[in-house]
Amino acid sequence: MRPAGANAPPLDGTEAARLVEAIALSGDRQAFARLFAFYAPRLKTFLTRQGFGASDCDDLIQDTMLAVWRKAGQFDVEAGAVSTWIFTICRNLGIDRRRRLARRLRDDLPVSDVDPAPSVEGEMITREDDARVRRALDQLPTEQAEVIALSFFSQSPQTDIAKALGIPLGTVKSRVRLAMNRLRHLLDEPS
Amino acid sequence: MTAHHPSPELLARLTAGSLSPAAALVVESHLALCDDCAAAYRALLPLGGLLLERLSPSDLDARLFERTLARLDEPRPAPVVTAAPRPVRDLGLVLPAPIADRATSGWRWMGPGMAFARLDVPEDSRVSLVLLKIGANRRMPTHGHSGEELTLVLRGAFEDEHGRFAVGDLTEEDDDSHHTPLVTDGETCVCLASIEGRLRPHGLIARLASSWIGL
Repeated sequence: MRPAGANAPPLDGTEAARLVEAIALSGDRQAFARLFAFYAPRLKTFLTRQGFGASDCDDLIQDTMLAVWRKAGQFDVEAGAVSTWIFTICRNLGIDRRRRLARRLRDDLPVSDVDPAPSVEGEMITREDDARVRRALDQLPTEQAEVIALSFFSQSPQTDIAKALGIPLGTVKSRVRLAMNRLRHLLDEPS
Repeated sequence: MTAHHPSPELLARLTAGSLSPAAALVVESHLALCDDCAAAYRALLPLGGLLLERLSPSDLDARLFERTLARLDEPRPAPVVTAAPRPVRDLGLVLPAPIADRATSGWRWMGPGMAFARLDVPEDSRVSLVLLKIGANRRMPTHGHSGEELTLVLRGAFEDEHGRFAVGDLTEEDDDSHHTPLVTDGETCVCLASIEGRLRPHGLIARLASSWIGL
């Protein structure tokens, strides 16, 4: 069995949810391979942009996908998209890794293995939210969508946004505000 | 009614998990006090998922999938037993939930009408988290910043060059800003602040105080 690699075909939300269900119901390794093939290379991009080195990236990708395998039964299709679920797991594991590293720096003590802080996993997100966000992002001009992506995924968003758009550093904040306000406005529109 | 909210960029960084732990606690404390921002934050998580889906893929180590596959049958880690919370020193005020269980140094005198308490954030080696208590009609020493500083008002109000800040309001200061907060309303003001880098206070008391706080 092998994942298709970086050129895996796109994976739509309905299929992703079916794959997670197949893992939950029957420990389907083919389904796991398909999810891995799509998400692992994207998690790597996310983690690299967050400033994690290659070996941290590999560990975090493994841990994220392992959590997907183990927690598949807890995934609730009514509570949002698979991508939101995987994003949250990976983000929490990343936060946890940084925290453990900082503790070690400070106390020079080994820190026991802890589950990622699920501060938001229990929050109320619905499939409806996902669909609305998807529609809104698709309506946003490319430049504004890029500003939002950079403010999410870059380690130094200000500098990167200024570079990407060729604008002075001082005007970045207002560009981000503009893009976010536009997005918020689109989110508020009745569908 | 809060008038000053975290910038969208700050909320995006909280969502992506790239804020320092101490700064994240200040923003989360604001979310605990502000329903609008809590709602905006909830909408950002699906946005994070969607953006992840649309990121361009990176090349992976060819063996990463095999290694992950080999771990699928590992026994699951035992659930972590969290230590009983330490008794929290009473600071004489109700703290927002995100920081309510943090160990603190207790109030320390910092100058006439001024006190500070350090909150313990062992998972942050770079940014300090402090509570500042400033008496009515006191002016905080003018100071600049050598890094990002987030301040959330928990009680009372202060004014500075940028406006008036009351309970729930959050301000972001960075490298370039200098400000001279004045506590108004005839009531003691308590703020929660995450402070990156060293404060660069201009006044003598502030300089003394900062050496005591160790900022």
